[in-house]
Parts: sequence; structure tokens; C-alpha cells
Amino acid sequence: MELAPLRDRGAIRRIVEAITAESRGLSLRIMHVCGTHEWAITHYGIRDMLPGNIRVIAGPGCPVCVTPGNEIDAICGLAAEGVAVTTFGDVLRVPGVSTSLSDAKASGGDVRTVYSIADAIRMAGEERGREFVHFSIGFETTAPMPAIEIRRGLPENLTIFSAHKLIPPAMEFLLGGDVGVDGFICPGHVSTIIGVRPFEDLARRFGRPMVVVGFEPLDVLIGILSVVRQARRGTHFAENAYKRAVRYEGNAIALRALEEVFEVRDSYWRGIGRIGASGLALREEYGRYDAVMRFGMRIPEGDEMPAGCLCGSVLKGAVSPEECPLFGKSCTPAHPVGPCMVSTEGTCAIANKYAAKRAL
Amino acid sequence: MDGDKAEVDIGGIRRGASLALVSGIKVGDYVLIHTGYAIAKIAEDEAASILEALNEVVAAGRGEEAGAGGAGAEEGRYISGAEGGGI
Repeated sequence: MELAPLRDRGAIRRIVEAITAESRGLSLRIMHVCGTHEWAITHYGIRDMLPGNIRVIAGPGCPVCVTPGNEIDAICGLAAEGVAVTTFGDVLRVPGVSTSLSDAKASGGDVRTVYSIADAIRMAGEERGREFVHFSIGFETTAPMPAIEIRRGLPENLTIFSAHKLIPPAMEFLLGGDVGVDGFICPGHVSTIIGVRPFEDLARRFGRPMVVVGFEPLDVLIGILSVVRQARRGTHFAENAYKRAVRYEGNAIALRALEEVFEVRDSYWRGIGRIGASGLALREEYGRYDAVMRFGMRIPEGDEMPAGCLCGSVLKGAVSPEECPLFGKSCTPAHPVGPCMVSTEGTCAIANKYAAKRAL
Repeated sequence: MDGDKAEVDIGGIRRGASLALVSGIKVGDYVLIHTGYAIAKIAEDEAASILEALNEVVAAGRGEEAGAGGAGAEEGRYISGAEGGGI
């Protein structure tokens, strides 16, 4: 792939023209499952460039949004007991069932925002007298870091709460449902870790085109064009349109670390439900680093979104943020009702930001 | 580079990163960084031009990303700010 077209307006126009011409007579719903794709698609106004018969919809690509409220409440409970909690910044304001980490912090809890699990390791190493829990949230892109650090050994006073989830099982879950997806733009960063093979399996089993793409406007448009072309020809295979970063086999070091440290379990996705084999829990031999074991945590499964919040339907791609009656009214980034309005990867937060810009 | 610790240049900002999840990285290579760890090497000839393109985007969009926080934002910043960093 040549690089110059990635920033060339003429090239963007040509690809949009190709999508328009080649999709004539088709009506396609193309889903992505990555918060950064939603950001890129909204930031660059890609939906506005596309013909009306091509709809790009956001799926459950925001890990913070699908983390159960009961897990957030349980971590807040640890903070209230004097445990230092480290996590990524956009987790803090996400409402759990009855509280949030920013509330826990305001009540005197030791809640710290970190950029990397390496920060949590450093802090725990410097304050040996205090128990630390790292609230570890993210998809396949973010899980290898705790895996490799756990394998190397953590400070004794640091444990991990794994809220890690896997993307292909969620895609499978949606393909088996009634959302109606004609093809997928597969997540570029997740794919650097897992490679292309999991999408080949899904493409074959469900008969849908799957294209791994990057995050430049032309990356995304080329991905859409590839899905359109496959739909027109009636083919359904996995393609890698992000070859500059994604190898077919993925990242072998990361995959090995994930396999050694975590085991795959069923997992509850907030607003969506239980998805088989979609979560990562620490293996028994690493139980000494598992916050669930150290603190005897018992977390009830399942929770509903706050009353009136359509975040669950947004995460499944069934409605757009604007279709939620709370969007931009009682639910704003300053006063979020549901998790999709909080995280920088949340579909509602992204839509709100760019709706405000458009209004100016 | 020192062991698996490296210094990366992300769109002009230098910061530390771990190379524990990648192999065969040499000084000057471009890598994709996620939460402080390199997760993939980026094909070199394409990376330089991408960085250039991204710098333009950053210059155009500076200010609007201010105040963003968290893993997601960090990832967003790679895309808008730096897909890769030279070590």
C-alpha cells in the first residue's frame, strides 16, 4: 500500500466515489468494534462522506463501557477499605451500580490514575506497607501488559483485578443475534496482538467479509471499500488492510504471555449480557496476584444500565447515540448517566463532542 | 535502549516505553505504543510519512484533545498524535 494516499484529499474523494459506484444496489451495515475507529470515523466525518446505502455502526469497542457496574462497585469497596486502587483515567467517572471511583476518591479513597501498569508496579514498590490493586480493563491490546508483568513477578503488595475481555467472541455473539451486520471493520490494534486468523474463522462461519484496518481516514475508507467489493462479489473472507502494523500471526510474545497467565472464561458485558469464553481471569498458579483471591471478592453477575439509558443498545449497534432520549439532555460528559458518555472511547462521548463542534 | 526499556519519540515528545512485548527492535525503528509498551513494529518506509501526516492533523486539532485522559485517550493520541515513535 502506498502511503501518500493516506493524507491525500483527492485520494479520499476517489475512494468515496468508488464506494458509491460499487455499492449501487446494495444496502450494507458495516460494524466496527473499536473505540479508536469510532473516534477516527467521527473525527474525520467519514459517515457524512458515504452514500446513504452504506451505514457504519459502532459495536462494543469501548472496554470501560462494557465493564460491569458491579465490578466498579466492588473496586470502590476496596478503596473504601483503604486499598490503593490504580487504573486508567477514563474509568474514574464511570458510574457503577451505586457509586464510582471518582466518588470513592472524593470520599477519601486512594484512587490513582496511571498511564501504564508499569506505574502501578513502581508505586507499589515504593510503598510496600500499602496494598495496591490495579483495576485492569481492556481488550487483547491491553491484557498482554499485566500478563508479561505477572509472569516476571509483581511486588507482593500488588494484585490485579482482571476485567479483560476478548473481541472475537463479542463479534460472534452479535453475528448470532438480530443486529444485522453485513460485514466488519476489524480492530487494528487488537489485531496486532491476535493476528488475522480469528477473523478468518468468523468470516467463514458467518459468511461475512472481515477487513482489518488502521486508523487513518484512508485506512478506514479502504476497509469500507473492501467490504463493499466482497459484498458485491458475494465473497466472505478476512483481509488485512493494516499490514504496516498487523502480522498475519499476530504478536507471538504477547499471545504466549496471555496464554500462560490467563485462562479464558465466560464474561458478563455490561448492557449486553453474558458472552461465552469472552473474558480473561488469572490462572490458579498466579492466584497470589489475583485481587479476587487476595480479598475474597464476591461479585454478583449482571447489572442493568441506569434507568432510561440506552447504552446497552448503543454498544450492540442497535441504536445510535442520538436516538437515546437522554443524549445531550440529561446525559452529557459533565453529567454522564451511562458509561458510553464517559470514556473517550465511548460512542456517546465521541458523538457528543463532534455534535457540539458541528453546532458551532 | 537498555534491556527492555527504551526511549521513544512520540510526535516530538520523548518518553519511556517497554520493549518486553516485541523482539528484534533496533534504534530508529518505528513501533506502535499502547499503555507504555511497544506492541508492534511498524513497517519503516511507511512510518515516516505517517508521522508527518499525523503531525499535520495534530497541528490542526491541537487544543481540542486537551484534558483527555485514560487508556482510550492515550490510544486516540497515538492515532492523532503518533502512530509510532522512533527509538
